[in-house]
Amino acid sequence: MKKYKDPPIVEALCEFQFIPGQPWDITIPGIIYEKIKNQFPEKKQQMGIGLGIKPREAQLESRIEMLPPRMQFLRHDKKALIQIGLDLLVVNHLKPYPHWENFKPMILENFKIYLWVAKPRGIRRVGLRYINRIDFESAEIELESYFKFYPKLVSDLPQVYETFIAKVEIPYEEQRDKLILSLTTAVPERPGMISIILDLDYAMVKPEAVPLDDIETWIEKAHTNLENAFEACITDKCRELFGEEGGNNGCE
Amino acid sequence: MVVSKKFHSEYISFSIYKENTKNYHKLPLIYICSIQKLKQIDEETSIIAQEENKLKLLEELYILNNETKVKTFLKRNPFLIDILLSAENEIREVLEENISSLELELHKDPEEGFEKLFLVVKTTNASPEKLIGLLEKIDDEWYLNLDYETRKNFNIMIE
Repeated sequence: MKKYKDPPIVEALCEFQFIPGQPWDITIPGIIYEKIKNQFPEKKQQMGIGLGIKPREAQLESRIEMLPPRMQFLRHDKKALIQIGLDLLVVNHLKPYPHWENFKPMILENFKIYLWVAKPRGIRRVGLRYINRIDFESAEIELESYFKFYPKLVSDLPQVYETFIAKVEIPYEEQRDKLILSLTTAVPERPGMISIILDLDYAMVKPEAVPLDDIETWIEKAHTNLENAFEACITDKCRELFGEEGGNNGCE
Repeated sequence: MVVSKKFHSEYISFSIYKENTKNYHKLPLIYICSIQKLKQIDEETSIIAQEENKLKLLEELYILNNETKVKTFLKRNPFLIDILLSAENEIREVLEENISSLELELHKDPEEGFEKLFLVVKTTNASPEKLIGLLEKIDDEWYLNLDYETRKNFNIMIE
């Protein structure tokens, strides 16, 4: 598998949605925190955003309302975090991404803690996702020079466009799994730059198709499929941006 | 009534829009945002993707003057994004029908030499005295409660 000096991964995450084995208990996030606080000591509440509507005079008025929070437990450097919500566990790692050999144990360790505390019946959905951000120090690029997966316009239309989103969902393993692949423009960090996000999300979408005790095999397979998909989406010119050897690729 | 992701529907949003088409100018801009976008933000578990989605939502709440500069500034100062999402509501609570538009623009502080984001509230023809009173109310009830780092990078201006 190819290795890169400056891999484009800005975030890797593994999201588990569970089928509960017992009613949700609001003390669950607290018990999990007790078990992980040495590694993830900082607490943050991710407020949910919803739309509130209230009657006002002769009409209705809407306002943004905050919904029940999802707890985030962050490492001191804020580069890794565990999110706990209603029947939900998410393990996130931001840039710089550690090798898969380090990220995988982090996923499995926290998965085991969640199982021990929340005692779910099964997994409704699990997704392993890699978000790659590729920055170009240029005001204009030719997508086909860098990507093999990109939006293609018919020749009758102007060929220069500003923002775009290309998204496909590809079934794997007889539709048990799905690869959600998207390429979109993103807000660049500096004016005059172009930023493109290549987002690869491999998920098991058939509830309980993977048993709780077989998750390690599934994430390993998911990771292999993501690596292959990443390499299939980019050209050699794109690989040159990351500098081959010495690092990890867009999923590794 | 809170429409959460559990029981909201596009239908509700559409009904409200229909009810208010005659008074459209009075509606909070949030009406223009689809409930789907809020749902996307709420359900997103990626830190990076959620930030991108929130930036897109801001585009619908505010007019962005020199859009690229404002967005790249927010990208460098992501702690302002949530503040701006709640600011729209706070300002509308106080200024109500006096608002004609809410705009975001960057100003370079000549003394400090750094850029600062301004939320510019363009108003209808209310008297300057009344507007100053309302701005003081926003300051007391909301803006001055923000932490120092936020206030250093962000201010509100009424025109």
